[in-house]
Amino acid sequence: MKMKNNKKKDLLIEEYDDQFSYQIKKSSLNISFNRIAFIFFVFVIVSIIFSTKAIFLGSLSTKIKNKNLIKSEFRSSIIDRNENLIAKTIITHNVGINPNLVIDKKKLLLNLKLIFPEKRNIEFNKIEKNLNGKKFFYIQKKINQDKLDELILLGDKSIITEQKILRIYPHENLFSHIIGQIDDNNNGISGIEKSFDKELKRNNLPLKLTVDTDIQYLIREELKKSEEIFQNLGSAAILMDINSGDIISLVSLPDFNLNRRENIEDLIYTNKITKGVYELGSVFKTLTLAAAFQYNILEPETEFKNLEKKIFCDKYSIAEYDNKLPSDLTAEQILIRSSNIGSVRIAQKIGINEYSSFLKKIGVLERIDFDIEEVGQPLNFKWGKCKLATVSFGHGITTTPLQLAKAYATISNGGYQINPTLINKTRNLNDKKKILNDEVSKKINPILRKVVSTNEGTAHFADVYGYEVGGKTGTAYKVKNGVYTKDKINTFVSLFPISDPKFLLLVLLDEPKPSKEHVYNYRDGRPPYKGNWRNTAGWTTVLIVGNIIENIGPILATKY
Amino acid sequence: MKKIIFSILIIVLIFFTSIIKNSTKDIDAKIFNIKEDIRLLNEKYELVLLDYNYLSSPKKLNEYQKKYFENELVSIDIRDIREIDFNSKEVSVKELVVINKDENEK
Repeated sequence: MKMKNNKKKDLLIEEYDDQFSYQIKKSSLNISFNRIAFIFFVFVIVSIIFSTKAIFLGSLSTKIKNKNLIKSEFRSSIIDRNENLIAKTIITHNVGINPNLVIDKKKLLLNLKLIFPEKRNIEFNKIEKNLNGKKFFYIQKKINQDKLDELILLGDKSIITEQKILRIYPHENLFSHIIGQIDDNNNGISGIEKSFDKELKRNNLPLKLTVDTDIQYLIREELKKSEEIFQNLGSAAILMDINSGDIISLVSLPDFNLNRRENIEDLIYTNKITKGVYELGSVFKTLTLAAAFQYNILEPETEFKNLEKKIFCDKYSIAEYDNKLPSDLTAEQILIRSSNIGSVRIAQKIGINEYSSFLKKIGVLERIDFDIEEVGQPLNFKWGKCKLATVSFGHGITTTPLQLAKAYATISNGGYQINPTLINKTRNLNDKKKILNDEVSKKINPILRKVVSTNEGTAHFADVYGYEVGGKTGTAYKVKNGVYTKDKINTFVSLFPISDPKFLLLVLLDEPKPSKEHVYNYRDGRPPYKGNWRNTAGWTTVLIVGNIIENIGPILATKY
Repeated sequence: MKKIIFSILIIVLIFFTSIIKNSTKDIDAKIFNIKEDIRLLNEKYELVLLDYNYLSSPKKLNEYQKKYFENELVSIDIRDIREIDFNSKEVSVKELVVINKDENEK
């Protein structure tokens, strides 16, 4: 047992020795592991610092990049309702030469001659002269990509390229009054370019308008033709969906080529639809009769007997344009035959308060809120007995053709308020606000049809088969420097198809002259008429509207 | 033995990491090239679209019509256009124009 005990003791010592040596080894391993861990820890810390810095710098540079892009370069495209491009920004390159960096002038000149074979010798002489100088000079601005690639492939350090942005308008003049212009710093200065400046710079998606390029072109062409026939100073037209307020076409002539980026200051270039404020004449008679229907003052068959040919209000006289008009007319006939005195009598029945609030309700009296800033302000006036009389047939009251179009749309679409717009956006048409009685449209639309379809009416040239055109003419003397002149502003507001109106087309001619050479072709089979001395709306704007509807009608009928 | 396994593991990991990194580098380069190609194609597409819009604008089409098809292209009377209704069981053809209700009044 002792032996065993001794042995055990020995074993214990040995075990102790083993344990000791093992502990030493473990300790050395610990030390090396700690070292590695420490180095790894330092490495991780350093990498975290670098990564943080890298991420920070990365995010900073992106922000700066984006800011620069928004501020100076990017501008999204503008497209029409069929997604045809109306305006687009592209990057162009200008190429120039720094003569101080040219190594072999002869070789460079030879290469340039090969790349630009279309340039004339005089131009190359100029380049050669510039190469001998010391100043930087351009050899080609807005160079095309192929030629730019060829120049870059030359590998000549003296050839310097610079990027420029360019706003392109492929339709040149066609949308000039709608789109407007931008300045050299990519900021919109008029039209849609101005009013949607922020959106165009921020949004990547193109801005979609309600206009139709094909219809816009056809209407513009007809207006241009009118200049040849009637020698008018200018003209304008608006085609609008009367239920949604979408403007399908808006033309004002004269217009300008947007690609030329000219400074437009002459007042003749005013947008006649939105900015032009005019006395529009007899087109107001429709509003007068509509007001009477709204307040249930009379029916279309209500008779007005013993209507005078001339009445006086203060020192001013109001006369019929045609002394052959019968003295007894119904309310309907007053509008069809465009009787001034009849309209005065209707307005007198309505009264100043109701009539003025009606005009206010349909948006004729106050400035309209529209998608572009070029909007006219109707002139303020004081209501009185004489003012009521003159306003009833469209004199002594001014408004813009856009507001008149809006008013006619409301009267004809069942009394729903609409907001004319150029921007194509989804709207819930069921949310429309009804501001007039149902009866107004039901009573006024058939009368407007008779203005066009009957021989007594003033607009038979617009009676194009198949379109059920209705409307009202307006001839007004133009006011210049506060004085009435003999020059006229002729307007025709048409609606079609009148049994369920969808479209409104308003055409305005500024100072049309009588056309003695033009052959008027009647649409009802009567023999043609030549040698006209009249320049009223019935003989000018109505003719243009008829031609326009004939041209755009098939497109409207099949596409809309 | 453990040391050896540990060392081999580290070496293998380093080896695989370098292989993967190398292969992703190639993929990155390919992605970059493809993105550049797409960007260039997009730019070209935009320019071609602009050309198309210009060349097919109503003004240009009118010019071409006058130049090449003056006698061949004629405008169609609205009365000759028909509306084909495919929705009903039998295909029906309707006149497109609204017949003037008050035509007889004239």
